[in-house]
Amino acid sequence: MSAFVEVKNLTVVKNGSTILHDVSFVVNRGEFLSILGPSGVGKTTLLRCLAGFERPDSGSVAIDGDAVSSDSSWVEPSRRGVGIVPQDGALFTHMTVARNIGAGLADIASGPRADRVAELVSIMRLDGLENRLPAELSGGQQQRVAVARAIAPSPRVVLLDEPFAALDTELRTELRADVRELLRKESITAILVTHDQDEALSLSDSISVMRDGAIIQSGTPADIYARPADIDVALFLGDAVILPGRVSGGKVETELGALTPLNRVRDGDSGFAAVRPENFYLQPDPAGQAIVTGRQFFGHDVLVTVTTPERTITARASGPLAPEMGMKLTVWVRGPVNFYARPD
Amino acid sequence: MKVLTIAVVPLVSVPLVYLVFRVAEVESGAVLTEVLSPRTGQLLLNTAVLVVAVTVTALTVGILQAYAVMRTTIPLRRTLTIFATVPLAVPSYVAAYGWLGVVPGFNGFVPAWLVLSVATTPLVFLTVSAALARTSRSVDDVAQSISTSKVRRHVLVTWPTIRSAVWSSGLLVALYVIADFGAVSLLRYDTFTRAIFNAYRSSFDRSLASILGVVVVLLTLALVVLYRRALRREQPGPVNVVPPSAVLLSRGGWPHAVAMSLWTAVGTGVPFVSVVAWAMAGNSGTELGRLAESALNSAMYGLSAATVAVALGVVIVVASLRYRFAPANLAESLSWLIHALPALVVALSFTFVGIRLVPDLYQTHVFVVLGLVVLFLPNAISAVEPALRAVPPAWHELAQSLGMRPSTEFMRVTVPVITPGLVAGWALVVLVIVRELPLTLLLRPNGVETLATRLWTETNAGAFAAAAPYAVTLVALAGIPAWLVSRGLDPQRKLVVS
Repeated sequence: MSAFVEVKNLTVVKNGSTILHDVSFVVNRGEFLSILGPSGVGKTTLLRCLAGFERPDSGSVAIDGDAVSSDSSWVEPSRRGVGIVPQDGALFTHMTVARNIGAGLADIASGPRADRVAELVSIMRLDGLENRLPAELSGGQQQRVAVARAIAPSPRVVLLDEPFAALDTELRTELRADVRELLRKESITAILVTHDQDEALSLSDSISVMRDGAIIQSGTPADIYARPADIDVALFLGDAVILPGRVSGGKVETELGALTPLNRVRDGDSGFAAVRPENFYLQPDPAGQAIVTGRQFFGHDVLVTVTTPERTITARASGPLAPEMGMKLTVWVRGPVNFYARPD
Repeated sequence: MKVLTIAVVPLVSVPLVYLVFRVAEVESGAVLTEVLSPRTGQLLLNTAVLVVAVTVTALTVGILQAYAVMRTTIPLRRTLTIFATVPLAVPSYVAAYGWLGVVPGFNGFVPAWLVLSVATTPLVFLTVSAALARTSRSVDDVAQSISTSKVRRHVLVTWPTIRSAVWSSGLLVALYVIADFGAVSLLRYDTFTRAIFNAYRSSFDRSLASILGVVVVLLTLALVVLYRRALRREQPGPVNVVPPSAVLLSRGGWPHAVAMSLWTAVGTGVPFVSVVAWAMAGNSGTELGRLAESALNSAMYGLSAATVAVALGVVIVVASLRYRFAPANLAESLSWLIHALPALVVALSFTFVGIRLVPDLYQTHVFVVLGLVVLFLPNAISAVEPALRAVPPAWHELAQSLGMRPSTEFMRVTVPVITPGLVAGWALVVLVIVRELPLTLLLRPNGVETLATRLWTETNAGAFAAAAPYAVTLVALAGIPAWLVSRGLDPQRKLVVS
């Protein structure tokens, strides 16, 4: 596979503050990349640079080998072959659903245009809504139209700016699946920016984690979840309990015992181990020092709050076997953990 | 409160009662002949030509100004915004006086077109700017990614954003031109309002003036109906948006900035300089007494009418917002209808009712104030309403649960919250009333002069030096609301760095 979208050393400075700092990444043809990070880290600015709505101060963007933005070249947004789906959908409020979807197809004859619109209406499950105005649609339907409009001209890349953020859980899951399916079918390369780690982990072929205008880690979802680059990333990707520890004989000595490190460690280092809630094993033990002080039932599993002599831990236990309130326990950690040495 | 609201209804229906009476008289053959006479046809044509010419000009200039200030990289944005709103400070009849002061014989269509276009362009500029401020960056982005054609992008983004603003400000301009009396009469261009006034002044039989008045009312209503039709399919736009990136202008936008400044420099600069020059050259020393007297009359009318109008406005808005009292809505709708009518026609209806029903009141100060109250009730209501809406309805219930009686609640909760907004609104209404000309001219007691009527009389007599102090005072007074309006509009103030 070759680099289809190539971003090199992109830097954007606005009003004296650096929004993007030396951002580089590649996306392969047909791949789905998520840029993951909390809000305000420059994700939207990055997307706008790719689309051509903003000129970076330095660096370059190439799509399929064409330099669309660099020191020596500039391609207008409409000539980049890029489709965008903004957070708010940004439908043309005065146009019907069908006309919105066909908005990017002005250059083709009306027959094929109608066919293409009909195809997208059916894939995005908008049947029967063709003549509605955006104001007459639900939030989920509006986003479906926005996706269909972006895909209709068969762009080389589609850019998704948190398009699922404003929807409720069920709608979101459904729409994500439909969008993923559509992109696969049309083999369109996609870049999604999001602050939702579940969304990024479940949808993407690869993820780039962004913080303070820079990309700090890239990899497959499994990679990133298993081996976060630092404690902040570990915490951002999901709940984790941070235990102080010290490396001795290849093991990390902590208050919950000697744990197997996942990454390479050096004897004598001290730092922190990050343990995921699902990595705790809660053994009922009348002589145990830990006690259950909270319990949140989710059906498929239970989040149990356990107070040990040292700290409070959140652990995930499967529904029927979860310990009850007030129960005494011994806490074990199963499986290897990531260890982050404190810088000397 | 309810009694007061109900009492307002007959007052604001005076013009309608008059209208119905007049339409009933149309059956007589003589009246029909008058309506269908070539003279009426000529007036209709004159008025229509002026309305179309001014509306098209004001829309073109106003939209371009608004787009330049709100969406492009034009330099000196703040200064240009002030330039675009500055004509609000010069009432059209003052501008007419100013032009006549430098260009003798400045009469007819072109002068009337110029003066009214300059006076009405800010209405378009303000409405369209406010609409353009709601342009959504994401929609603009999508249009940019979809279309290579600038025209198509405007069709996709700009036009839908400003369409209702264009329609409504276009209507405002057209109504303004139909209603304008001072400028067209000073510039001797025969529209309906000028003909109505002359017919009213020149004969004891006022039926000709009334018939022409009915024609104007029908013209006005036709415009309002047209406007309602056009807005029926309007869709609500986004509420809170990130503004789009500014459009890059060629040559740094300086040619555009110069063109914008030129419009104001000529349109408002020339009459303004003329007013100031006449004021400095004039021998206003002996006139000081008369100036003070007319200023006092203006102030008296302005203060009393504004106070009554704002008080009635509070009553009506509270009755409608809090108690959903039906007559309050009726009073509000009726007063808006009157707002669309030319002040001259409203004045005619008051003379009609005054002479026939309350001859004792006719041509007294009280009667003038009543007329002004009816004419400016909509201004008062729109000034009062935002202040009253700032009091959440839940407070009313909360206060009751704390044991306050409604009257106690009103004094202790509502009044402190609304007072600042109310005072500001009241001051604006005072200043708007001070520049009023036609109604005061028709209804005032014999020998009583205000700033506006004196300016009008002196200019008509060609006494430019004598008129100058009145013009200066009026510009200074009208400048205050204009200044407030231009400050309220700080373009691109919501610029957000993402």
